[in-house]
Amino acid sequence: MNDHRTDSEHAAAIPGEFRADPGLGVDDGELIDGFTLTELEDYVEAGREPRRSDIESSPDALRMVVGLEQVMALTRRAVDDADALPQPSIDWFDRIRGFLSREVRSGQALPLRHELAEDALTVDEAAVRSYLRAVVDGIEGVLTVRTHFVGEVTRLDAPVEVTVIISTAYGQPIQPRTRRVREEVSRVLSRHTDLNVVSLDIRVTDLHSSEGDGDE
Amino acid sequence: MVNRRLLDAPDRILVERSQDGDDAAFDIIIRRHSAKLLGYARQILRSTHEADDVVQETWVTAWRTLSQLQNPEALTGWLMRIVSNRAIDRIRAHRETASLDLLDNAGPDHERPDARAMVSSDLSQVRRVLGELPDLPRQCWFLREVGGYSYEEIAEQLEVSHSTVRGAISRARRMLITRLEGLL
Repeated sequence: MNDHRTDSEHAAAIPGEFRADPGLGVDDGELIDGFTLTELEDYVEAGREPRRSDIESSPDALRMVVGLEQVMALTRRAVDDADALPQPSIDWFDRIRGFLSREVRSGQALPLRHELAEDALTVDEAAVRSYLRAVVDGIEGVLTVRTHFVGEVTRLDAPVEVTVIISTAYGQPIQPRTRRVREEVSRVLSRHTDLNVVSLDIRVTDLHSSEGDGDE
Repeated sequence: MVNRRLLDAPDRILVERSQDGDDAAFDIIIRRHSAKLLGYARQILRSTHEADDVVQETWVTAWRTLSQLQNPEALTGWLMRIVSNRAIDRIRAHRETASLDLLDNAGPDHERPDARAMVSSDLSQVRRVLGELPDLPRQCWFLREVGGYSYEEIAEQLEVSHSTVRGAISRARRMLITRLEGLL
């Protein structure tokens, strides 16, 4: 894909030979056991596939191939090794929170049943979901992953299917937890919304480490 | 109050919760990944101030577009990509305001430190050597190796030819292999 030999302007003029842009001076023409450095770079770029036995059997060429792979790996490690990098200051994080606080995401308005007022009463879907998460997270060994309300939630009495996806802690029985989640979700929805919940599905998609459980 | 379990939760759970609108989960993602993103942005831009701006913009973009992240496991690569795009904007803006010769500026590549002096080095030394690369080779190298861009994409984004990108990356690689010889 990155073969310079397909670079038409050069390929036409100097077949089979690499010429870099003038000024970069990248190719010094030095041969490593008969291979140009460019040739070895191409091989590394291609992930050493297809296997070139001529390169693989030359100790000098192979040393260069491994060296090239190592500088690639070192670059990624230098970036990935976040532990060695200074953490940003609290102010820095606060500034980002400031930016994000302007990015309000509100949900749909869920209508509430009431007899007195002429004005419609509603509760914000995002607030309900946030509260659901907090309640479900409060159950030992359970972490909320997602909540879904499917149906015309903005129309009173429209059938709504609710799905709550959870992660449970490793090594803990799942059944009692899904039962608790079901009870808590039902309680929250019936107390704080007038959704006509026709089905409530609790799904476990994930297991998480139990670290942090029980000592909040 | 931050839920302890959430602090320890894997990225994939935090991503899904954030997509669901949970700003506390997103806050943990920010705390977990900012140092790495800043490190990358500083390396590519060689400016702490600009790197700060780029990463802050990245988090706003990430929050707005998180629903587009289909595979929560791919979070890090996705974030790196946003940082890369933002950094590219800065690089282009610089080029427009200052008529620098990007092909051959500033790099102290005439200095050739003794490779043997690096034997006892660590990643901070790798970072220093990376930071000493001239602008275009450094930018292309990071976009390729960390940002995951193809040569074609780099050429298009930085508005240079494919062969210039190829040459710049080759130059970066050769300088690194010379200067990091003691670590290899």
